Amino acid sequence: MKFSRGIMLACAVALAAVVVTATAFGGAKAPTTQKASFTAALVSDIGKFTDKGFNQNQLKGLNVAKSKLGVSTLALQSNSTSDYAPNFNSAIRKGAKLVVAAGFLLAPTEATYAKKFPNVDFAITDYTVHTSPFADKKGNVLPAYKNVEGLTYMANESGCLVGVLAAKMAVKNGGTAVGAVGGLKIPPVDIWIAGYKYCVHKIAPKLKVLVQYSNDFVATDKCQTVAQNEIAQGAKVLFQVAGGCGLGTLKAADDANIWGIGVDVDQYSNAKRVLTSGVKRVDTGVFDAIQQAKAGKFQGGSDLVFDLKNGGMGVGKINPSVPKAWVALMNSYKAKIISGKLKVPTGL
Amino acid sequence: MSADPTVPPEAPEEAAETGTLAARLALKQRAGGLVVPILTALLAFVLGGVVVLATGHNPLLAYRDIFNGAGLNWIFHPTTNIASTDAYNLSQTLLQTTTLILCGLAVAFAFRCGMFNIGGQGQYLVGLYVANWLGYEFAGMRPLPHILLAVGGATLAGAAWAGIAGFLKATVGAHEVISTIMLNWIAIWGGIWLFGDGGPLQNVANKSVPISNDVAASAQLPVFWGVQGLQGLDVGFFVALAALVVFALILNRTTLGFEVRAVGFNPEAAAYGGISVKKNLIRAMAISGAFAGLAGALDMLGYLYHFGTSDIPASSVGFLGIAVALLGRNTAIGTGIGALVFGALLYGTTHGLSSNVIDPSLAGNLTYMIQGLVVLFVGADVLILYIWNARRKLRPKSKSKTHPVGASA
Repeated sequence: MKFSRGIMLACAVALAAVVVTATAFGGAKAPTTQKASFTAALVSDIGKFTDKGFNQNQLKGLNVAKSKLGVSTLALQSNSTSDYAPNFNSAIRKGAKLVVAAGFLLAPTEATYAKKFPNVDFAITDYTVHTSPFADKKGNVLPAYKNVEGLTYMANESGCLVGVLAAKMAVKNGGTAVGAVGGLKIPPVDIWIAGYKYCVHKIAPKLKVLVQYSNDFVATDKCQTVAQNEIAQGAKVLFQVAGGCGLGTLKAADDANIWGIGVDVDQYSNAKRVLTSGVKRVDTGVFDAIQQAKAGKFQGGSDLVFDLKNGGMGVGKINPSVPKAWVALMNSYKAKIISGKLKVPTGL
Repeated sequence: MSADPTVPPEAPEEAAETGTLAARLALKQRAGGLVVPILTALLAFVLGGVVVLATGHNPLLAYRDIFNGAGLNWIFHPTTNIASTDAYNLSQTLLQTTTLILCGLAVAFAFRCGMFNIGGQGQYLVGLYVANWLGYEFAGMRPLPHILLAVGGATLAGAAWAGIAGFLKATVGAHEVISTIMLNWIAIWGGIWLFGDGGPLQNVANKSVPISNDVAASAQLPVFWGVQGLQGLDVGFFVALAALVVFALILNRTTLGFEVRAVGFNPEAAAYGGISVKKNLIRAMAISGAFAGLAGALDMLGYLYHFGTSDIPASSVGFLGIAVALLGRNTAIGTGIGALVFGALLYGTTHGLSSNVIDPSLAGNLTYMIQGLVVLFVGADVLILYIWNARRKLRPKSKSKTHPVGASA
């Protein structure tokens, strides 16, 4: 048998490998227990912690909590759908008292674990507890989910403010339209666009507001294609509402020499022609939830709402080419929203 | 199985010299036995380690953490108690292995017919969708018939999806690499439409999120290791193991398998021998797709239960199946081992490496780096063969030289 030699060699290699691993790994010690009394965990969605936006920003909040509140933290990245459950499992196994889920994709898994582990607190970014799976059809939170807190953001308010500047700029440049490039057609995206559209029309009722979706939050080329499509239709300002994918929107705006508007975090430095950014402080949300839970003031079964008033929403750096008068106009809108005189719609 | 199930006795000697894909594979299989795949994997791991080293971490510690994170240290203190971290990790690794076995077989079967099925991902997704639909729509059925219905439907859907590519190849000569890639995109965008805003399979309880409905309890596969509903290891694992046996039996013990392999070795010779090449191309692709569709069904009914539109483009198990099949050299046993290696890597890199030590983005990408290196080295089989043969020539008296080239054992 000419193969026997090869097989013998292979067996020898395999045996050696087993012996080496046995000696090297067998004596491995279990990880030492955490010193700090309170552990908070953050589970990413498949956007991962490197998405330059939504997930990464929440990780920032977790890290701030670690340094400011002195809590132990666990950042658990989900690389695929099958990582959601093991990440929740490992957070609870490692003694997390609060597990924050980074977005709606994790809602069903969080619901399963929240029910199974009533003594652990759970929070979820961008998702209200007054809906399925945490609540009944009337929006009443089910008793099994009194340990879940929703972290919701009034992004329509910031969307309105960037809409004011967008409309002014489009009119000045003689344009007939502004655009928005969304990721998926989901409420956390549409709430931005709803505020944007509303206030664009407040400033310039005749401007068309183009709304299209890339169906992606990661791949920049998909947003770039959609953006180029809107530019071809005459858009002079583009608002990107698609996380990391939206960097493609900003690039398309650069290439066409029009203006782009960033989202979630201050994206002023991510492209050359960024008018401003609609800022959603998901980091603050994570931090606040941890602070509450650590102090024993966790409000399970309800939503923690972030808006312009409490600083959970805001506007990023404004391009110097924007006239002072426009900024003043925007600030007057901000004051009206905070005082409750202006009600911005939340849905398209 | 015999020591060498991969070399069919009827393999024509000329095939080795014709330079077709299958012929090269046959040559390689004769040359290296088990050594080449092991070398391939080792080289990939070593180079992966170099990358880890370049980031300023100790690769040996990283690999130890991956090994432990994948639950493979379970063998040092085996227990069936799922409360043990090792047992839990191992159950999760085996869950990944289940999917990868079937996705690997999907690639391997087409390979044995001389085709490169890159559409495993699309076939997997189609299986996932159909299993979700059948699993939700027919709630209230008795569990066994419901499971059989959903699994059967998804498997057939996967077969049909791949069958399109086989049919196009057989009738108009459209290359299967191109058509399967395009079918992948149709499956991805089709799923985004199905589960997306206002789509026909979107969650009825919450219309504001683009997630599918949950599979009914009657269609959920029983979990035998772990907690039902918390992603325990389900009986799908045994189905995947059975699929390995079925794969080997079909290829080595049936007329169908003989014809498929004959077409794979040399279509002209097969046609001359009275075998319908067209029929076998379609059949081989359909069987390939059935394996991938089955993988989708087991995932959906075993532990996922629902799927979001954002999860669809992020899924890549079908592509990992290519690396699994290449590492396993398109054999049943090889695919099984390859799937375990990649399943452990996938789970171990994500959950074994502490985010405080190694950046999670690097940890997640390590799997894909090693996957890429494996594909590269398998693609560069000539290089490894060259080294292997050079080693042989260095020996003063080689018994193997007395054998004629290509003679079977």
